[in-house]
Amino acid sequence: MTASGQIGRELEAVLPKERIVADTAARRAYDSDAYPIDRHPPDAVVLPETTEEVSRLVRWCVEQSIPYTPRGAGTGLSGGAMAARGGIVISTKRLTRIFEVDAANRMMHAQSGVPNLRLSQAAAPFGLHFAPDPSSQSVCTLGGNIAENSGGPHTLKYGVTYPHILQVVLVDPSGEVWTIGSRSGRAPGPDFLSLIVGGEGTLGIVTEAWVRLTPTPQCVETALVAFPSVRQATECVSAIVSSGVIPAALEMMDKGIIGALRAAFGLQYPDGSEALLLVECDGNDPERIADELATVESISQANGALELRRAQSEAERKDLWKARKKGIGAMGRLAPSIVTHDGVIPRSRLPEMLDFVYQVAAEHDIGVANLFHAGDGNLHPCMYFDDRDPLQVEAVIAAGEAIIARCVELGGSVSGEHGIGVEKSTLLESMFGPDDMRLQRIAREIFNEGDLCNPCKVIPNQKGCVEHRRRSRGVAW
Amino acid sequence: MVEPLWEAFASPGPIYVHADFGPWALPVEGGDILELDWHEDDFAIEPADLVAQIPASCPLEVVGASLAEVGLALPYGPMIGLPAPGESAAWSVAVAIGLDLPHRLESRYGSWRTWILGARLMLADGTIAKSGSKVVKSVAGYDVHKLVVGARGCLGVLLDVTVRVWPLAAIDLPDPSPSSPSRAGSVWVQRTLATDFARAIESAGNRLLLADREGATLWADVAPGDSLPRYAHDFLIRSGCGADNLQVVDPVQVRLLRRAKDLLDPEHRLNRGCLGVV
Repeated sequence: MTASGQIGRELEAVLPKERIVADTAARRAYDSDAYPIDRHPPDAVVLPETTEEVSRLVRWCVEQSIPYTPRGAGTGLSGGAMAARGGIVISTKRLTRIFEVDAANRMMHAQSGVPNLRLSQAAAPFGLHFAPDPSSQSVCTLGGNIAENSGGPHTLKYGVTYPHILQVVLVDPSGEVWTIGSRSGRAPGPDFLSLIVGGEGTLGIVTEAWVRLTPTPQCVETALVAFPSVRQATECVSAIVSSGVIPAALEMMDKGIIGALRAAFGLQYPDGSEALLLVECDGNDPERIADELATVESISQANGALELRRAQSEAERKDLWKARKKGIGAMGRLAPSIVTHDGVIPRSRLPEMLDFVYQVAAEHDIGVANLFHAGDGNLHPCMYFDDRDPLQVEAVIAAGEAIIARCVELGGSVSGEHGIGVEKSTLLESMFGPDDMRLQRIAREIFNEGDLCNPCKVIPNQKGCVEHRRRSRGVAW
Repeated sequence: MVEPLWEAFASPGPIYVHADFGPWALPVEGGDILELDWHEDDFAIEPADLVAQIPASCPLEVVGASLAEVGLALPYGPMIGLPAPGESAAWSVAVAIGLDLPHRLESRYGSWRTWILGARLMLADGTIAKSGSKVVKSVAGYDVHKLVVGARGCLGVLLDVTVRVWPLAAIDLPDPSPSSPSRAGSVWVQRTLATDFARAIESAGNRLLLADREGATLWADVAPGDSLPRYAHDFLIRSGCGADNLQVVDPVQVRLLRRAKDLLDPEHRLNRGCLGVV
């Protein structure tokens, strides 16, 4: 019997047989998340339905010295849910119960496998929603959002996942069950939730959470602004934010995306458009929101806008959002493969950073288009190429590393929302020196002293992780 | 700026840094409180990016004035119990972060936990380490800079912080409350679930100083030895009551706190006793 077959059999003492999969096809299906460059199959995949079952599984792994990796929907973009050292994948896909929508207290209690969008759908009848809205929100899970501290287009106003998590139930790396945080949003002393949210599943497995619900704004104004140059668009971003207007969303698409949208979907924008800004303002005071959009319009004109389209209806709003939401899909026509990088810079450095992105892509003879969260300074250069050509793959990796290095030089971060995972664990050392990394290791050790819970992620050079130190950079083809 | 710290670390015994919590303090073993110098040159305000790097020793009122000069602000509302300008106990940024008192604009604009983007800390062994970044969005590593908020300096000495700031024009100040004095001797600050808030206000009666309905937080003048009703999941912090000012009683929180202290300050030298349990 193979090792994986043996582990699968032994797991039957812990969970019902029908919730253990260890056949070759399943192991292949779970050998990566949405970062397919670094793959490793688990020995088995288990599908618990309760916190108690997760606790039992973790205790069993500890007793057997078997590594385990938590996984939500597998939409992560940095390899955080990849079973780097084999062992078992603990999937949260059957932790899908919403226990309570407490509308009066604007919170919801749900298991961690509930898809993000379902949280908002459940809250919608009460005029509430779960604010974090990553692009994968129809499938990505609450637990995955917590692990990655996920963002989304509306992060600029509503923040990333952290402020929307009140309390979690965590199965720690020894199998013990902890309830951390407070439903009132404040617990005395340090906030240990701040480590768990964004901890990439390395500090334990979140099985349940109380999340904060946000009133759904009654008034939403959306505009799409076309600019004759990327520089004018990026300068407009800084001017809008400095003016005191904090849009709910401030997204940018460059000429590469505009061209792809035209070719794929026939979407038309003014001749000479080199960049588009999607601006959305929301709230409950229609006059104020109209004023904010008027300010945006005025600033856009001052920065040389070619056109400002303002949605007059919900249907028109959805049409304007197509420029953002269909951008990546449209790029599928440009080349067989796409890699989306993730880095952050101070938003005032956007003009020079984008110049640098184009320069690096040209130097490496790689196509690039940019579609990103401009208001947050969170870049997503999308490189298109043919992954059957090893030279192009190497060029994409080298270009990506140059771009991330430049983000750090400009005072930014190696990741704005995709996480560190296995992809960027060595790049973390470009932001942090040896003493800083020691602090990171101590933070991990508060919860996780061992090397079984989601090994090889975030912290570089962990025991037994040499083979994952650097395979390559980039994501998602 | 850090030399006095290294000198203090060279001698045995407890070290108290940024530990003048005034009436909000918990009883400690004693010892001198070390305040660090700061220089205007240590400020780095980036209006276009809405971020500011601030020396942790700088008084809050100086930070507020510096930000206002360029049309920016940290959006905290009236904070009852704040020392008056010019008093020797005027809070530094590090003290404000260590206490992390609730404030009246919190439900709209967040608190130190959401404002802080990065920090430089001196650990108990004298090493200086940073966490976070200087940009408004980053998921690079564990957010240790958020962990130190509310930790009263027990886990490390804050040297400087990078925070998100707001354009003054974007901040909606609440209507001034006629019953919101800037100071009170014995303040009871309680956050409840929204469904308990009306009862909590009613119980406070004429002791109520200020009520923030959006944030379900009340401030009341409650004498030491006296108390108001508690509610499930509520949060309480008091002033003027010694050991009762803050009680970390949740066993999970206590265990995690001890664990963090053992790892970050193994000899338990930093601000010993300032958080009650370590």
